[in-house]
Amino acid sequence: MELIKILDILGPLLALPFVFLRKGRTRRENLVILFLVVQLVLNGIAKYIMIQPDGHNNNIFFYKLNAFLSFGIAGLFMLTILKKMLAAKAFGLIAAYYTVSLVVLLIILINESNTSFNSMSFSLTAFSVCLFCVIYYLNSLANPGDENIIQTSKFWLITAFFVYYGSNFFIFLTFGLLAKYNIKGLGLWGIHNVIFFISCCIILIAAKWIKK
Amino acid sequence: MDQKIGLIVILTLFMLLMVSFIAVFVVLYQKRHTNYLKEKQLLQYHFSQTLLQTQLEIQEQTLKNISQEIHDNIGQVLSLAKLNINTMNCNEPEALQGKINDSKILISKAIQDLRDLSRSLNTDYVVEMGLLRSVEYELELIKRTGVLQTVLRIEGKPYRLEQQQELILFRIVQEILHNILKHAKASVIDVFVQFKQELFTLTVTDNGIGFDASRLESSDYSGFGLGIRNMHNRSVMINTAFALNSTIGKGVAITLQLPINNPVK
Repeated sequence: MELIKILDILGPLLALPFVFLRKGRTRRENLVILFLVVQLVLNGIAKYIMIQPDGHNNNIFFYKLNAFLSFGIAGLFMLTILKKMLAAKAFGLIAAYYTVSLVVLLIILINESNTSFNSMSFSLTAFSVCLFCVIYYLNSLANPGDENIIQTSKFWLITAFFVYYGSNFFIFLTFGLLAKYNIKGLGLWGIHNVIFFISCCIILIAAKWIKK
Repeated sequence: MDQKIGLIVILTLFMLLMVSFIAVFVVLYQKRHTNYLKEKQLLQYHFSQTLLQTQLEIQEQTLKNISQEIHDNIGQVLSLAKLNINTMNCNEPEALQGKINDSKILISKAIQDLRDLSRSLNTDYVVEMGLLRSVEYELELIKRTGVLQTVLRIEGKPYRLEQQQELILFRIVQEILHNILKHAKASVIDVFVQFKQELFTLTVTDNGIGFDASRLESSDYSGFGLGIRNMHNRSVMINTAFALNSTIGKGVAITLQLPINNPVK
């Protein structure tokens, strides 16, 4: 059970070297590095605060900051892909939606007190990234090209984001209910950590074994 | 403990749902991708078949042109030269000299005609000279016969097209000019070439007798002769819009429009 608690640090730590050392890394893949670094650093800080014995262990701000920055990076990653797939108007709408979501999250981050976890704002980030992923999947299905996307790192990176945010959407949205069942030994964030670790493994696979 | 198990079951189901979604996507995508590749292969096959067919048609037309040119022009000139030589009489030195001079002129003309023919049929030469100069040269040849006046007008900064496009466009222009000489009874041929950044336009107009082109309004060229159909098919093959306008007594105008992606500088 102790291992589950540090999976959110272990995951990015494991995937980072593979993405960093990937041959012919694209600019877009640099965003994945940034995503992993943000997760690693902010989860590390949050974890450090949590284990402090003096009672000053409120780490919610760092989780909120993590959610905001991660959404910013993952959203940007998705936009760079969708830009090449969608018509200018459709892309404009999505870009506008992304910008508005980012601003809303920033306002929440600045104005909200750090005493409680905001289920709705976290759900918004998860929903938005999932929406971008679904648009990507549907568009790929409607317009298959010469390249088999399943053999591209892009597909696996998006799938990693989809698994992470898709699962978290469920966790964040049903936070109240899940908090009620937050029994000792298997905390809510334990489940989050396992899912995040799986996503990091998918990123690792994409970086290590998918050549294109 | 029951609550804990319930939670694990719900989350596992949710994860399974997501994994299923991705698995279904992968299966569907693979299916569509395979179909796409098959369709593309089929299209490529059809395209290469059409290209081959067109090449054969061009070749056939070229042979026909050579045959006609040799029969109507070079053959006549050489026959005349032979007649001169046959009727030479050494006892009439003045007439003899005249016939020798005439024969020389006729043979020189036959040689020049052969050169012109060779030039206009040689694919490499067309590719080397480019479409514009090749068309200019064709018009010059027609003008030299003295039967027709030719005008070449150019708008915009000239650029080169892809080799295949230039060659096919040139063969279409040759076919148009050939048709004008054969059927139009025109006195002027006007060729207008427009080089725009995104569109190449070439229009050939004559002031001949024209014909009823009302059937062409629906872009259906099937009712017309092989020549027009071939020109239309060749245009389609290089993504060029082919438009023919004509009214009886007012000549014919044929416009070819090719969208430009990457002009060769």
